[in-house]
Amino acid sequence: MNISRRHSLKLIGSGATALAASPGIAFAQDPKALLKKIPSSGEELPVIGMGTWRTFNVGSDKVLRDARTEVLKAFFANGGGMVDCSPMYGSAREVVGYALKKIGIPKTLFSAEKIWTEDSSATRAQTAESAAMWGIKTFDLMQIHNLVAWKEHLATLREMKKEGLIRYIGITTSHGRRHADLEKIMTSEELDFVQLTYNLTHREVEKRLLPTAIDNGIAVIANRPYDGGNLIGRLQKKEAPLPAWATEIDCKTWADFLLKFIVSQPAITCAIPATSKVSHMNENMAARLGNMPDEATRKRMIQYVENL
Amino acid sequence: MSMIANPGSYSVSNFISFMDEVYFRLFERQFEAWWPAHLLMLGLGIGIIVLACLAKIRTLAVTLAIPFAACAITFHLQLYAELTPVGKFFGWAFLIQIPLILIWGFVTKSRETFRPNIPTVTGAAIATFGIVAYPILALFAERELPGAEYFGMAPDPTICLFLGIALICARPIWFLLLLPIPLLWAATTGATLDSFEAPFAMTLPIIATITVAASVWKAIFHRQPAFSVADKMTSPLAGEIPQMKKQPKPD
Repeated sequence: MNISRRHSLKLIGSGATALAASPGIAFAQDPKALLKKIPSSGEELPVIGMGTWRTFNVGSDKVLRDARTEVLKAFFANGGGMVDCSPMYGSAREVVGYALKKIGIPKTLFSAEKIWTEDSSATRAQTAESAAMWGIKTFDLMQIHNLVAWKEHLATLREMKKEGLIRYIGITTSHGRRHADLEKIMTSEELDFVQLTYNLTHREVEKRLLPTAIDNGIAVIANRPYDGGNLIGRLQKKEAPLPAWATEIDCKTWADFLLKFIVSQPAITCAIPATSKVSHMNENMAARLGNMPDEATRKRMIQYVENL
Repeated sequence: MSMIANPGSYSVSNFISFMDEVYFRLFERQFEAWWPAHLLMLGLGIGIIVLACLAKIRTLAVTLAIPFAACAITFHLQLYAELTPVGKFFGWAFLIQIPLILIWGFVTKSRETFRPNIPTVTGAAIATFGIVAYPILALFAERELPGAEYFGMAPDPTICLFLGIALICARPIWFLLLLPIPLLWAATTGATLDSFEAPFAMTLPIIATITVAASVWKAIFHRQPAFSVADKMTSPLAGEIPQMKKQPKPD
């Protein structure tokens, strides 16, 4: 494991004040902010990251690029860490790079990119291309997007990890696709991360993939935490009220209600909601603070939303 | 291994990698960069309809190349392609449409001027809609005029006008050459706007459907260039205004 100086310091800093609530959960300097450990290294991550699908694909539009820069600024101001992107997301990589250049690279940035090409010889080239777009030298996490040419890419990523060009390796899926294949890979290959779809209304991964991740010491990133906006959109459209007992888990909005459900799952390391608005980012980031639901409350959350 | 596994499990929205806000901003940005070309295109659009009614097919074909080229370059290739490969695809598709239109224009012999019948009247209405209605629809959708879609600049009104012109002027056999790209765009824009739940998302697909229906009508009932009065008397086509045969002068 090749850990940089800044990450070593971060580990020490957060570890010194950590109060272990369970083997996978720790509270860092801000006693209300939930961090979780990456099983393969013990490094801690803020449980709310940021996705960029759709929201950061704004092309060369300066007005929208500046607006997204404000969103990213709010993310880091709220203690955010993981920013996840992909070559599949149109101009999102360039827009992240634009925003990072304006903000400066925060120490807390945990850069997560993906390889998305059928050309198995292009792993290094696409990594370099993405790094140039982000304006960084190396990525913290490089994932194979949607299992595309995964065997070949994985072999190259292992070499790159040894060379210190990336720190972690992962593989992704979404929308509940190819779970059987992902499970095989999780049990047969050495991975640091998997990324999959998990939210209050899509919980299939609880049956096999999440237990497999725990058994194999793999960190889990939950994508589509609002089901691509559909879930939170439906709840807000109905003007459905939060339950009275939501205050017990410090939920003020549907955003932190839905996100707390995800990040309180023991196998989940972080969730990556995407947004184009600063106000929504602030709501998302509130989910890392305060009390988290226990197993009984999580069941109550499911029941409440299903009854709506 | 394909880039897309289980294609059947995807919905259209899974392929739309940008937000509605970003898409509609493209028209504002195009307006900022090219205004007042929009006004010139408006004049050009009116001119195209006049040329179609006069059956000046060659001039019409050359004139039609301008909005297709403008739309391909200033919208698809310069702006839309930044967001999605679909932009690049349709940029080239619109450019490819130009020689197809020119082939039609230079191979087709000029025919009679505008004769009102179901396909031509439908075509004229569709073409006029392409020029006039799109900016108004944008206002109804609570978008500002600089962010509206204009003929010759934005693809939807450009395709709309073209579908109408094809109905007015082109013989049905030419639809096989002239309509695939416009119909493909109609389906694409409908799916895109529908995924945004945008108002009037189905406008162009509906117009395309009407065009196809009118094309079929034209293919079945308007294969002969003209109808005599006698034909008209027995014609099943209600509302048909026949071409008057020259009557011999009485001695």
